[in-house]
Amino acid sequence: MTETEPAKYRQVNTILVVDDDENWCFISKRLLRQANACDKIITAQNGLVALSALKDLAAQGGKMPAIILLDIKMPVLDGFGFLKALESETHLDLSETKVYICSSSLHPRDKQTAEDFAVAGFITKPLTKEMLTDILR
Amino acid sequence: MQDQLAERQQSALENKNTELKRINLDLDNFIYTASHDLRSPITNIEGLMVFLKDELTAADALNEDTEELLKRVVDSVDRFKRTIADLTEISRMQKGFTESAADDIINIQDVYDDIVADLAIPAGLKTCSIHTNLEVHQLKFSRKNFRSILFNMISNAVKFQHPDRGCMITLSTRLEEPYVVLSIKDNGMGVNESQQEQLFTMFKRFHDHVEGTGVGLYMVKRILENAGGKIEVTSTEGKGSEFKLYFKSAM
Repeated sequence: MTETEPAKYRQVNTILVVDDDENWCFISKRLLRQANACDKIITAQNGLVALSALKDLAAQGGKMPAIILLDIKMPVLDGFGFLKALESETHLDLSETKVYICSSSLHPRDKQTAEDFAVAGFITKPLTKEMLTDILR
Repeated sequence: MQDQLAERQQSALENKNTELKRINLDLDNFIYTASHDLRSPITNIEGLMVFLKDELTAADALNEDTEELLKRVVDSVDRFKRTIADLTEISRMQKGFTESAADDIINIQDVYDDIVADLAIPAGLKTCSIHTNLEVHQLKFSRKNFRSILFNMISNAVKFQHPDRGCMITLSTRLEEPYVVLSIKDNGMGVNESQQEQLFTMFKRFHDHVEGTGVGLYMVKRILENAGGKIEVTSTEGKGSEFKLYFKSAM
């Protein structure tokens, strides 16, 4: 796992990492960069910040992120709050965006709640190269 | 007068019951939150250690000393993770009782064969010869819980084998109304009397030559007791142990 390792993944434009854990954001960013997974990585420390980041992106005429890695437990606006809020943001074109719920341990209750939303999958931290291969496939 | 007293006692009992249920729920939430919140930083440390190793390698600074330090941090992280996993397992088990796990008709031999097939012998230990003598072949119990119980008992017998002799384990079942008794007898290290009292205490460990977190027997006892059964042990230090597991017989 060195910086010079060639990309084995399909590259995407933008990945948004939503997590209040600054160290986790650091790790994800580094892992995604090493894997050469995307052109741009945006991080947001909670759902609200993520929401405004998406709106900013749309206002600049940018494409929505291909992948969103979303934590559940966050202050201000948590993961599910963010997903709920997205539903009313109809002007954001998220048809090509895949949302992955990222958590260090998943409560069965959370998994059930997630079923109400269109999420592409669940990732139990830590994020590994194998999981990256999966979500970038 | 009598009626009033009975009514008051009934109401006091109901209050107590509600309170206990609430405390249980709080405890469950606490364990879940604690294990979740403990996992996040430990997961980060795990990821950061990988990066650190890369960086040290790239800077040509990976030598015997730094490598040992890295290894010890990683080992400690692993140990921490195992404890958290056990906590999670206990909280899951606790919940299983309130949600009453469905009983299955289990073929004991099948479960045994399945366990033996993926039983790993820890490094430095001998393979054990396991003798089975099943008078009762079927049991009505939650399959998942029974597997967990039998796995714990067999792997304990393997782990705590005596270093000076071949490891022999006898697994037997018989009917002792109103119970089906499953006995696991070994010629292992055994535990002394004062240790026997604490054998089923959470996080209690008496040997450190193999990995473990000290929740196995606690879980076994809890599962059995919650299903109306019990567990008994007779053991002599240096000679071996016999565990008798009592399952409510329903067939």
